Amino acid sequence: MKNLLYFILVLFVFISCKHELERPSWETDNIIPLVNSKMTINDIIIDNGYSNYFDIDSNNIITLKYNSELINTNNIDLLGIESTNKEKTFTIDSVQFDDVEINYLLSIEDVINDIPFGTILFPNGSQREIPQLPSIIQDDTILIDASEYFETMTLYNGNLNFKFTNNFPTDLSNIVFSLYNANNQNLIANINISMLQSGETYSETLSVAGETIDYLMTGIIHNIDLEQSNGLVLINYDDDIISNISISDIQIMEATAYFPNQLLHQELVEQSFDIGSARLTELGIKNGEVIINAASSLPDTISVIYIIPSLTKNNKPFEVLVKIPPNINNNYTELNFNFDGYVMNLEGKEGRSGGDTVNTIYSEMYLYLDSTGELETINKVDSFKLFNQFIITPEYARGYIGNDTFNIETIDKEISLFNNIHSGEILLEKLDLNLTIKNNVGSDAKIIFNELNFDNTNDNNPPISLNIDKDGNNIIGYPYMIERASLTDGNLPVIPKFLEIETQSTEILEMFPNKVNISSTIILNPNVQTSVSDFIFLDNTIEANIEASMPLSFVAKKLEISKIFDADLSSNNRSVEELIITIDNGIPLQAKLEVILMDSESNILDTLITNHFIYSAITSEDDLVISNNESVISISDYNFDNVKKVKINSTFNTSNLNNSVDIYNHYEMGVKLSARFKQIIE
Amino acid sequence: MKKIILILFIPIISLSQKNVEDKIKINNISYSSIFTHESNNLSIDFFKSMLLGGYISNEMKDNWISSGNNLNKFNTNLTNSFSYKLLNSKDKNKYYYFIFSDINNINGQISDDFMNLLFYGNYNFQRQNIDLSNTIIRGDRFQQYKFGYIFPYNILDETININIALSYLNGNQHSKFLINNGNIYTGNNGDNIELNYDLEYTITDTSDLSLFNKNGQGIAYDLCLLYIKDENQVGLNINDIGFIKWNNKTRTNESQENLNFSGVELTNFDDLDKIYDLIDSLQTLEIDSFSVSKNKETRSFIPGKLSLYYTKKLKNNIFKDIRFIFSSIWQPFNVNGEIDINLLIRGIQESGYFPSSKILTMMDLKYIYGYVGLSAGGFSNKITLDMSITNKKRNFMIGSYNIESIFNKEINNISLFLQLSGRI
Repeated sequence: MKNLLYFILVLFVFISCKHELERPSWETDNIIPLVNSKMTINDIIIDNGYSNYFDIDSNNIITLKYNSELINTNNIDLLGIESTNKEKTFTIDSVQFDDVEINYLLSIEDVINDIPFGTILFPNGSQREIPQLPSIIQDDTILIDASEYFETMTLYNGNLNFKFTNNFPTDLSNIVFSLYNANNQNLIANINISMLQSGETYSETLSVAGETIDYLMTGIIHNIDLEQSNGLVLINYDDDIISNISISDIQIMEATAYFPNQLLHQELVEQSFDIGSARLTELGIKNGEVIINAASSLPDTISVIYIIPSLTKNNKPFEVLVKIPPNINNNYTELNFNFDGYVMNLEGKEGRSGGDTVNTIYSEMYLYLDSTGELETINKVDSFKLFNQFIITPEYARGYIGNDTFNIETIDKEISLFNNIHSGEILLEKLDLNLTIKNNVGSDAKIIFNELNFDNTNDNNPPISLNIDKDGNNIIGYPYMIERASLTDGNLPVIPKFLEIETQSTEILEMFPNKVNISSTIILNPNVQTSVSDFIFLDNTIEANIEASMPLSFVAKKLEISKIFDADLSSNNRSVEELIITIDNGIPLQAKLEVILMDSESNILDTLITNHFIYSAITSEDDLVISNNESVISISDYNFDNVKKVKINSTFNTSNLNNSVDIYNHYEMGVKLSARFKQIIE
Repeated sequence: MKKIILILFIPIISLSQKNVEDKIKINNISYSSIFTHESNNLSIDFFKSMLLGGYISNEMKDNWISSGNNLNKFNTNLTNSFSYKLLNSKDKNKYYYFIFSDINNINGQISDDFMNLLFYGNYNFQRQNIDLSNTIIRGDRFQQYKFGYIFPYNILDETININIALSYLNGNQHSKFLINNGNIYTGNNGDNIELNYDLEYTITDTSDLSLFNKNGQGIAYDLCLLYIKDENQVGLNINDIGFIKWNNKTRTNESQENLNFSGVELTNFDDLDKIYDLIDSLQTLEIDSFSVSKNKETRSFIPGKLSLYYTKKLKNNIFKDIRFIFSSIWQPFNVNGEIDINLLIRGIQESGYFPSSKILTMMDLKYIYGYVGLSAGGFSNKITLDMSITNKKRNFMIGSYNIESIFNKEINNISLFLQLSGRI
C-alpha cells in the first residue's frame, strides 16, 4: 500500500506540472548594405528618358550628345483623300414583268354538239359538205384566269395581243369578241374579224396603257358565222379554234403580282478622287472604309453586289454582297466596309479606252430584286436610293505626289536637358550643333527655316537664333534643297536622303535653354515634274533633328541642380535607425548636398541632409583625377511620416574654377547606402 | 513556478545499478526521475530566459557571452523511468528486467560569435569575421522500452557478470540545427556582407505534440561487464548506443552558400521604395529562405553512455568503499560515412561532453547511507560535487550531482534525482 502511495504521488506531480512557455525577446542592432552603385556623370546630371547619350572622343573625354526632333511632317495631311459619289435613285419602272399569256380552245366537236342531231349529221371522221351556218356561236362567254401572274395591275405601258387561229375545215366570218374585267365589267378590248379563212391566223395588238387589269377577265364571243365548205371536207372533232390572249411590254404604275428575281440595275463606272495637284497611280490604304447608304421602299429585299476591281488585298478585289431590307419610311441603311490594308489602283478600268488614267478607280454595282414568292404590291413611286462614300487614310502613295507647299507654323519645343539646373554658371570649351534633315519622301523637297532660336524662358535675356552655317549661309531663310529618297528595288525599305547643316555656338548651351522655337516651309517637288514616279509613306516623311555635341570640358561655378523624386516613404517608417551613405567620388566635381523631404503637395516636412559637402576627387596640377575621395553621410533622427517626395539640391563646382576640367569616360562615383536598424527578436 | 519546483525536487535516479541490485531479494519495481542541466558557460538565467520568456537586456547578454569559454556547451535532460525486475529466487545474480523511460534531451554548443550575432546583431562587428562553425542545437523526446538480462559468465575460473539489453525507441519529436561551417563578415559601414554557410536544419512533424505520438522508431543496446575479485570490482558499461529513424514527414533543409551581398544596384533614385522592400525582406528572413526544404526520412542518435569504473571495498566504519569512474557520451551529429573508429571518436567529440573523471565514496551514517563524490569534465568543465542519501532499506534515494551550485553566485549546473523502489 505504501508503495502504491509513492506511485500515485509521483504520477500526480507529473500530470499537474505543465508550464506555459513564453517567447523571450531581445533587441539586435544590425547593419545591411542596401545600394551599391557606380554612377557616371550621366547619372548625376542628366535626367533619363530623353534622347541623350554620351560619346567618347579620341582623347577619352566624354562628349554629351543631345538629340531633339524639331520638325516631323508625319502628322501633316500631305494627302487628304475623300470621295462621295452622288445619290442614285432607281424607280419601279425599271421592274421587268414577264408577258402574260392565256390560250382558249373551241373544238369543232363543241360546235357540232350545239347543232340538233349534229353528231348524227356530222359524225367524226366522215366526209361531209358543211353548209353555211350563221351565228353558230353567239354570246358565248369564257373566263380568262391570270391569277398565276398577278392579282391586279395598272399599266402605264403594255400591249394586249389577240391571236385567233382557225383550224376548222371551213372559213369563219363576222367574229366579234370583247374582253372585260370580270369584277367590274370594264371593257378592256373589242375585236371584230370579218373573215378568217380555214387554216388562217388573225393577230391584233391593242394598247392597254392606262388600263387596270384584274387577274380574272371575261371574254365574250358575240358572234361567229360558219361559212359553207367548198365541197366535202373531213369532219375531225379535234379541229379547233385557238384563241391566244397575251399582255406584253408590261410597265406597271402599280401592281399586285408575283414579281420574279431580276436585275434591277447595274452600274459600271469609274470614280475619281480629288487629290489636289497629285496624280497618283497607286495608293496603299492604312485605314479606310467605304460607307454605302441605301434606302428602299420596295416591298422586297434588294441585293447589292458591289465590286471594286481597283481595290485589292492579297490580289483579291474588293467584293461585297449586301441586302437592303424593305423600308417604307425610306430611311437609309448605312453599311460600312473596311479597307484597311488594301491597295488601290488609281489607273482606272483595266484596258480602258484611251489608256491608263490617274486618281481614278473602277467599280461595278449590281442591284437585284429578291422575289419572296408572295403577292407583293409595287407602285411606280417605289424606289431604291443609294450613294457611297470613301474615307481613306493612306499608308503610301505612288505616282506624282504634286507640287505642294506646307507651312509649318512656329512650334515651341521644350528642351529638358537643363530642367534641373536652376542657377550657376557653366563655361564650355566647345559646342557643335548639327541640324539634320532627313527626307523619306520619294520627291525632291525644299526646306526653309523661317525661325530657329533657343531661349531660356526663366531669364530676361532674348532668345539666341542659329546664325550662319559652316558654308556661310544664313540658316534662317536659306532654301535648303534635299534630294528625293529612293526605294530598295521598288520596295521598302526607304533609303532616305540627308542634309546636314553644321554650326557652332557655345552661347546657346551656356544660357541653359529650355525652349526652341521653330517655323519652316517645306515644298515638295519644287522643280518640274520628272519622269520618275514619286512615292510617299505617310508615317515616314520629312524630319528635322538637332544634335548638340558637347565635349565635357568645362568650368562649373556654383551650378545648382535640383530635382524632386516621387518616393512614397510614408509607409516606410520602419525601425531603420540610421542610413549611411558612402560616396567614393572619382569625378573632379565637388558638391554641396541638401536632401529635403516633402509631402504630396510639395510642402517641406524636414531636411534630411543639410549642406553636406561631397569632396571632389583628388586631382593633379593638370586637373586629372589621381584618386577617389570618400565622403560619408549619416542620416538619423528622421521622420518619414507623410513623405511622398524627396527633393535633392546640389551645388556643383569643378575642381578648378579657372581652367576647363575634362571629364573622362573612366571617371565614376561609387555610391553605397547601408541601413542600420534595430530589431526586436521574439 | 511551484510546479517547476516540484518537478525539480521529485526527480530521482538509480545512482548505481549495482548497488541497488545487491540488496534486491525478490521481484522489484521502482520509479526514478532525474533532471540534469549542465553548461560550461551559460548560466541558469540564460535558459530561464529562453524557456520562460521575458526581455533580455544587454547586461544579461554580456554576462552570458563574456563568461569565459568561447564555445558554449549545454545539455539538459529530464528522464522519468519505471522499472520492473523479475528476479530469480534461486540465483539472485541472474534475472530479467524491463525499464520504461520517458526521455527529453536538449543538447547544443554555440560559439560566442554566434551568441554575439544572435543577441547583438552585426552592427558592432563591422570589419570583423563572425565564426558560426560547429554550432549545433538538437533536441529529442522519445520513450525507451528496454528489455535486459543479467547473468554471470564463468571464464578461466573467474566470474563476470554480464548485462545485456535491447531497447525499442518510440520517437516523438526531434529537431536539429547544425552549422557545420559558417561565417559572416560585415564590411565598414555595412558596405557589404559576406556570408558563407553550410547548414542543416531538421524538424519532425509538429502537427501532433501529444506525449506519446510517433514520428519515428529505433533501437538501442546495452552491454555491461562486471568483474568482482574479493574486495575489488571493475566494470565497463556501454549503455543506450542506438538511433531513431524519423519518418518522411520530417522536414530537412540543407544548404551551402557563399554570398557576398553589397546591396542592389540602382540606376536612379526613383527606386527608393525598392530599398525599403529590401529592408523588409531582410528583417523577415527565415531559415527557409536560405535553403531548400524537403521532407525525407532522417536518422539521429540518442546519447549513448560509456563508462569504466573501479570500486574498492574499504574496511572502515564510515567509508565503506571508494569508486573511480571514467565516463563519456557518444552522440555524433550524423552519420556521413562508414561506421568505424572515426565515427566512435567523432561521436564522442560531437556529443559536446568532455570525458569525465569521478571519485566517489559510500558512507554508512547510522540511519542512512550517504554518497559523496567529486567530478571533473562533462558538459561543464568545472569540478562538481556529488551528494546523495538513501535509507538503509534503499527504497528511497535523493541527491544531486551539483551540490557546489548551492555555494556559487551564478549557477551553470543543476541536477536532482530521486528514486522510489519497493517489493511486490
